Amino acid sequence: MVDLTKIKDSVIGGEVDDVVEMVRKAVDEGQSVKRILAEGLISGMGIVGDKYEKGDFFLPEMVIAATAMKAGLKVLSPMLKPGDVESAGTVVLGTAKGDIHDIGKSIVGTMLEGAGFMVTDIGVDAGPDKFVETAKENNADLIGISALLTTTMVGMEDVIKAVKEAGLKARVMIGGASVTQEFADKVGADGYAPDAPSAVGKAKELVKS
Amino acid sequence: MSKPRISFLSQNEIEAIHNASLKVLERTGIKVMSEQALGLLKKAGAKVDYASNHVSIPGKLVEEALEMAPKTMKYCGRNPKYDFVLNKQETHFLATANPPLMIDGETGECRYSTAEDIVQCLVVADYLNHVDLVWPFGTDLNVPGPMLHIVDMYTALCNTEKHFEGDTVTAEEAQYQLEIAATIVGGREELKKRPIISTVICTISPLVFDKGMTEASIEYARAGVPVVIYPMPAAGQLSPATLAGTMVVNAVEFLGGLVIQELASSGAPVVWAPSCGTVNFKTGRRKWGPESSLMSLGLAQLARHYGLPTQRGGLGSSSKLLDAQAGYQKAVSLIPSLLLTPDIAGGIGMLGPGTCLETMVIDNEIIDYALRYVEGLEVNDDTLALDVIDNVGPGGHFLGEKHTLQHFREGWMPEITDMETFEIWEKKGSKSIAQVAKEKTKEILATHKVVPIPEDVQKEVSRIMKRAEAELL
Repeated sequence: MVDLTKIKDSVIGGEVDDVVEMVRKAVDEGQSVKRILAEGLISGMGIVGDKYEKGDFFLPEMVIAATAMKAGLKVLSPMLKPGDVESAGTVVLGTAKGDIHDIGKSIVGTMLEGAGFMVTDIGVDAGPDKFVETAKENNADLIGISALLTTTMVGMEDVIKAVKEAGLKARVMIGGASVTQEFADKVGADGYAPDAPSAVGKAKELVKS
Repeated sequence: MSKPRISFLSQNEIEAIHNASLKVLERTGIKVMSEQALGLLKKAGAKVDYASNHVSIPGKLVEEALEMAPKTMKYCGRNPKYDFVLNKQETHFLATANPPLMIDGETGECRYSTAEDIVQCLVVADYLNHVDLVWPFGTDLNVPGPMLHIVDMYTALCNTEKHFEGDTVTAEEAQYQLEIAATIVGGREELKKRPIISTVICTISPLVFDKGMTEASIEYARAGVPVVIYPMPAAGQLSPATLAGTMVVNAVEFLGGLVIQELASSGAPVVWAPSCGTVNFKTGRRKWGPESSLMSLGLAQLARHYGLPTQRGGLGSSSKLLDAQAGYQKAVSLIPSLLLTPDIAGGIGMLGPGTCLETMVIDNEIIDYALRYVEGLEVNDDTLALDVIDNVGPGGHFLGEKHTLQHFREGWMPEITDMETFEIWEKKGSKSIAQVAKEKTKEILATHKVVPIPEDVQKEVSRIMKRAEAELL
């Protein structure tokens, strides 16, 4: 029998292949899918989060652990029933129109998934319609817009307007190198985070409120 | 004259980085989002896949581009007294700032820049003796995106007679920028001879070239106006965590860009700005530290090996105040930078996440100090001064010697640095350097008048600006 604490340890260590192999084996052995998820994958991510908070872990450890957890979840997903996974919220993420800087937004996406959010990434160079449509389709709780360039960050305001006009329930948070709280207030965003780890905290806060 | 210089990569190491870069360009390749650029690359023999924008560049194309690229070039100002040549002999200083935020050095207050801030920075830059060229100092968020970089350039050319190195993110912007600059210098041919502007093209690390910037750089190449290729990988995030691997990613992006420039127009002037960052792994944000300097200096050595001009940082600081940290970070990064004599060193006006007006005055002083240091010292009969030593003999002093009179003014003298006795400092108001700099800045703004663009030319340029607005907005 696969020891579920070994799955948990492999998530913490970011051993993607080991996690996939052990999850598969545990499923084949007939272990409870819900338990594999809770005691293996999710509890592993919980410890990673604690270690980060304490200052023992850094971003690369968070990102690779989240990747390992996602890989394990992918094995389990065909067998999961609705309600088995408690989602922290549904998020639509994208980079503002005219901007093709991908990386900051993608790191935020991985971190959010690691924290239990369901994330739909609409990619780069995304206009207001794309954000609104995808948020509708996914019944999103939260929309995240990223922009690196000063020329494209002003386009975030158009997305926020479109979201409000469409009457969506989704809250909007923004980020990017040139963005500050001052700018977020000016364009009417519900939230702002200066970096990926604090984006997770902000997302949790916005989804609850 | 014996000048202190550094060079720490061996010839073998330089070649290893070069060869690794060629291998990546061919094996991994780069992604170029511009069909125009892909067309040039394909025609020259690179392996292009239009569907994925992927291109694999053979070493031969790189070697040819390195041959074609000019080894020296002119950077000019609206006033020819500010012209200079990038020829690896001396360093010219760039007021770079950090748009779009402005920082108050005394209080740490941080806010978005305004049109007024930008003009003030330009006036101070026009005044300061060590500023040779300027970047956009801020972003006026009231200017619509498609006009932003055209307005940046227009504002700069109106408010300083020095060279402007701007940003360009679309071919249309490039065309208007080039037209404005050509109108000021008296035509396209004249602009080629006396480029009063240049532009910075940032690659998107790792290994991606944006469509707009690439096509803008092609416009500049064809106009014969310098393009600065500015890759900004960050170790462990946008490139390998190891310093050498990050240097390779930087070199690959530079060489890829260089090939595009030289294919667009053989002999196109290109400058390499090998910026390499490290990462704050707690937040994922970029940070500058000793490793950034090491990587960038190593690549400056590689640029030297190619014989090409370089631009480096110089006076970076992540401090939010004009405090001890600002001072030591700026000084510690500037001096090694100057020991490799990059053609251009930047950072004047940078503080933490933004631009700080009064730090420009302090940066000017740090440069003055550092330049004296890298100037070195001379050893000859006159400077050994044996007769003077013999004349004074044991127990005397040298203040009254003619030799002293001849030489004492050669020593560095500060303009704003406090080197007084305690009593004099106290009598002058016990001021910190931040206060002194603020006062000096106010004085410059009150007294310095920038020579304007001649009225008839100004009218013509205004017409171009109106045409740009009508077309682009």
